[in-house]
Amino acid sequence: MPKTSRDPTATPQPPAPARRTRRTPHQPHDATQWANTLVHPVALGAIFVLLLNDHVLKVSTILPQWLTGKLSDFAGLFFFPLLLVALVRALALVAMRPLPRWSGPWGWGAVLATGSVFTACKLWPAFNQAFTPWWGAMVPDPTDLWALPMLAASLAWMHRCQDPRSPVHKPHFQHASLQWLAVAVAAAASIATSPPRMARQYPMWQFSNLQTAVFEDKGLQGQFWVSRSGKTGLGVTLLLANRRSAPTTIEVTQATLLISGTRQQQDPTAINRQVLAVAQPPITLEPGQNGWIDLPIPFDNNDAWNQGLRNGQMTVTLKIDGQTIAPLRFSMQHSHTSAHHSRFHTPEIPKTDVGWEGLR
Amino acid sequence: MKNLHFVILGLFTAHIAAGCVHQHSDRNAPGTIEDIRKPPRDPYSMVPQQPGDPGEQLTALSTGAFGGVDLLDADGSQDPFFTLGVETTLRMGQSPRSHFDDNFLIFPMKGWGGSLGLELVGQNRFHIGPLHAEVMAFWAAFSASAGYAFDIDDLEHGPQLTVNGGPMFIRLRHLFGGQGTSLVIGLEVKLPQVWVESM
Repeated sequence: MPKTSRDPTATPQPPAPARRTRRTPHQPHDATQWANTLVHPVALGAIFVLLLNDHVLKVSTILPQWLTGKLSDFAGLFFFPLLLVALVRALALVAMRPLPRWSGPWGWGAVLATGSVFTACKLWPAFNQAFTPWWGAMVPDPTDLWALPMLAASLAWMHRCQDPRSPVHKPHFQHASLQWLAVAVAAAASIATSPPRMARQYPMWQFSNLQTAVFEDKGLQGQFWVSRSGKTGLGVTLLLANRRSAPTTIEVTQATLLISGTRQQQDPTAINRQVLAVAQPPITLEPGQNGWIDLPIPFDNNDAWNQGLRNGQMTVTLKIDGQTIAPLRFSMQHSHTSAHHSRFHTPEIPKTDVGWEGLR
Repeated sequence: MKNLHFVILGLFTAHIAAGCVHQHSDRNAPGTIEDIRKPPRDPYSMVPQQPGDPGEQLTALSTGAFGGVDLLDADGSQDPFFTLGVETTLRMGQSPRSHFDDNFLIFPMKGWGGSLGLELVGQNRFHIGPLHAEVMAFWAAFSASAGYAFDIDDLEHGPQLTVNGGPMFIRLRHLFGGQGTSLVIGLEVKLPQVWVESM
């Protein structure tokens, strides 16, 4: 009697594998697997690296700046395509539609879209200016394109998670709410990439009344402005315009700054301090010529600040064509409006230009 | 002596109640100018040169609780020993860059410090002490401490070493006397107050 297929000694044949087609979707409404690529330590680690780098490492000195400038790009390019596809799958889940495949057109599309926008932001200044106001600051640095291979890693990860035979196919955390939480965290990390804004603002010496910092003497116009101010003193620059019909020689014979404060000191002589500007050689200006004289005033400005000595009276004595004119005096203050300012909005610099034409 | 325990506990509680805050001192506020004698690059611009960042000094006082499991079974039983206590830590560090006021974390990242702690539960019983004091070196979320512990009740004392990684810690302590050696692995939760001053 011939053996039949029901022969008990016959070796059972494994069932033929299901034929996979391009349009074979995941099981619809599988709430535990719709974000499986994100709910894994690999993807969660990338999200953590992005958050840590943007909000801690970039503004600290733990890691060098060249590294912190790249970490976010590498991490972001890996998980952002996963987030895009997860959002599409979430929409499909809500709409009771079959979930798109990770490694299908949506996966490729997410990778290409992410890479295109990233490359455009790094290489195309106009695109960067249009894109960053609503997305967040992205420094246009061509060297950041070294991170583009992470898109291939992202695509490979989606392929791996797609494969039912892969150990990472099933998410580590199968509870549906954790899938939503992982996507929410990834989305928040993508959006909250803006680094902190409120940078230090430093006190500067400024003229109390700008009009007192200008003078005119028989066609010779001059204006003082504070060009620098810091711990080691300040610098005042005198701009000059010779409106006379003859060459004119200008010399600063003496410039002093008397610093005072309102805080009472035990030693009255310590309340006020007088500091001198470094002597400068005279300059000669031809008719119609502009020029400048710089007056650095070095002193321990940091100590004066700490002692509360933040008011100043500057006195400048000029000699014009050998003739000493009446000393010029102006009040100054060492102050700042606040300890911090938004570094994306440069604090308004007090106007120092009195509007003389041709002075610049 | 037991009153001292309650005073310390009161101080810890008061500091915890203060919460997470950072305060910025105006001291040393002016920025740095590389060479004050150097004239401006463009004298006609009338735009003042922005001072450089002088860096800052950060001091953080963190107070909170710690808890863990003693991995060395001192009395030979199979039950693990749990420990619970309070600790305050002082960290001082410098940063070459000033912090951003809206930064997520304003905290010294590397430097030196010290800790003072008090165990409230040890050997699975409510047992105030030992009190420990440590000197610490830290870098980012990691720190290594060495110090001494003193049990006010039993008058036992001995050296102590602690290694921290984020909220986790491993503490090795030996008390000369009945308590012997303990190796505790656990977690700590602290709330910091930070004072920032420019350098």
